[in-house]
Amino acid sequence: MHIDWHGLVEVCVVSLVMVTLLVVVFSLGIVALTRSRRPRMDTVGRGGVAAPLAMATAVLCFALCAALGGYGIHLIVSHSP
Amino acid sequence: MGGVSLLLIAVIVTALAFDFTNGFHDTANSMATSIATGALAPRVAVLIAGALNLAGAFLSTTVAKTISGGIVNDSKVSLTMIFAGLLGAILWNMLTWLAGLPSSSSHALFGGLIGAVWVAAGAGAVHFGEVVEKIVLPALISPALACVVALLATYLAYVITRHAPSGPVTRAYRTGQIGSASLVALAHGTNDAQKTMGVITLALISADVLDPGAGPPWWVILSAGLAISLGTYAGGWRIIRTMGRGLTDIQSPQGFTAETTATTVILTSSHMGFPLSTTQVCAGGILGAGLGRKLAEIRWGIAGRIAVSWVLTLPAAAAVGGSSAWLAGHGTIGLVLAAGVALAAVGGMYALSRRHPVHAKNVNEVPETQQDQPDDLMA
Repeated sequence: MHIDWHGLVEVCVVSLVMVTLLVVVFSLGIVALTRSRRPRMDTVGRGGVAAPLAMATAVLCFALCAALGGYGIHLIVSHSP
Repeated sequence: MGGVSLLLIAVIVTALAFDFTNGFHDTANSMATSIATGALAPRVAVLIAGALNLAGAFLSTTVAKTISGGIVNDSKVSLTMIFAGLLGAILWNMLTWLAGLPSSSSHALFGGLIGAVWVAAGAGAVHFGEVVEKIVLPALISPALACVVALLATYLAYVITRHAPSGPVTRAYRTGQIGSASLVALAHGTNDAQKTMGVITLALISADVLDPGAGPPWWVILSAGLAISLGTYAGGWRIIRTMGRGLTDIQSPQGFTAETTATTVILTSSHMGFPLSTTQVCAGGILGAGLGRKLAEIRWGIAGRIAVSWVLTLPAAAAVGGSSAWLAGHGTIGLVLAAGVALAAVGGMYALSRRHPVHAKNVNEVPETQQDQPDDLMA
């Protein structure tokens, strides 16, 4: 019996980092999206992000998530056991 | 050789039947949370999951070269043992489905094979070290990992979006959920459909229908893909209810984090060559998502019941597989008898399920009956 502890730790760390990254980026994307939809006065007045910038942030965040999802599909297709 | 061809046909039919149970048993893995949060209508969810399972079956380029991945000595495995092992796996899948418990279909298959090989070829043909390494250890680690990761991710998701208006947030997470759930379904098709393809292909090889080392014929790929996707489409509504409603009340951010966690853990570990159970990862992810949201209620009774079913899966499927192997070892009559008993048991369990049917229309009702569900279903 051979247990690859190093590999196991790697699986744990990679999973943790990837999920956290994905969920944080997606959540930030949602926050940016909701800000971009608020009346312009509101966001600018609060010294926050202007609507176009918020929208760009949202698009960037969701694009990153979509890219990670695409990489997932790539893994499924190329590494199916 | 009438006997051989009868056995071969029996193996192919039971392999496809197992594939079907594998499908409906695991619909919950990809779609339970999406159905619970309303991201997808129940019928649409199972349709997507079924279609992606079929696509996954055709995407999987390499079919398993061994039936068990080294858990039993494959050179000692006969057609009768495969048949008996499949019966054990099918019966355990049906029983756990009746009780609404998400147990691992792969563990049921391995358990059935271990039991059949143990009885028919002796304990020496079972590699117990491999059992610990490939089944017991992943079964301990993977749900715990998914639980911790989903807990952290859920906590972060709620903290980040706490000041954002809840309507758009819910809608956005629902959309994200559809993506992550679809990836789970696709990964499931590539992994689980090819197990059945491997079993049928190796059965054909050992019956001299195919040359050694041959790949699966097109009809094997097609029938295995269709069996798992039809099973998925049939929807294991009882298990979907347990996963989506029973364990904890899932909101859309939790559904998103649970599915994202499941996809990531499954892909990472299969990329690095670790076998694990999709079902256990998904259940661990849902539990973690429940723990990560403040004030979310976890029904620990149901969680405990699921854990018990996980512990029982291997020995229970092994017991049925072993008994079937013993029976089927007594020539064609024993074989027919084993198949008849299994068929009767499956029919009986289906009849029992009709007493309290769970279907697309009532799947999202909180399963209050699960708390006082008779324990004899668990035995």
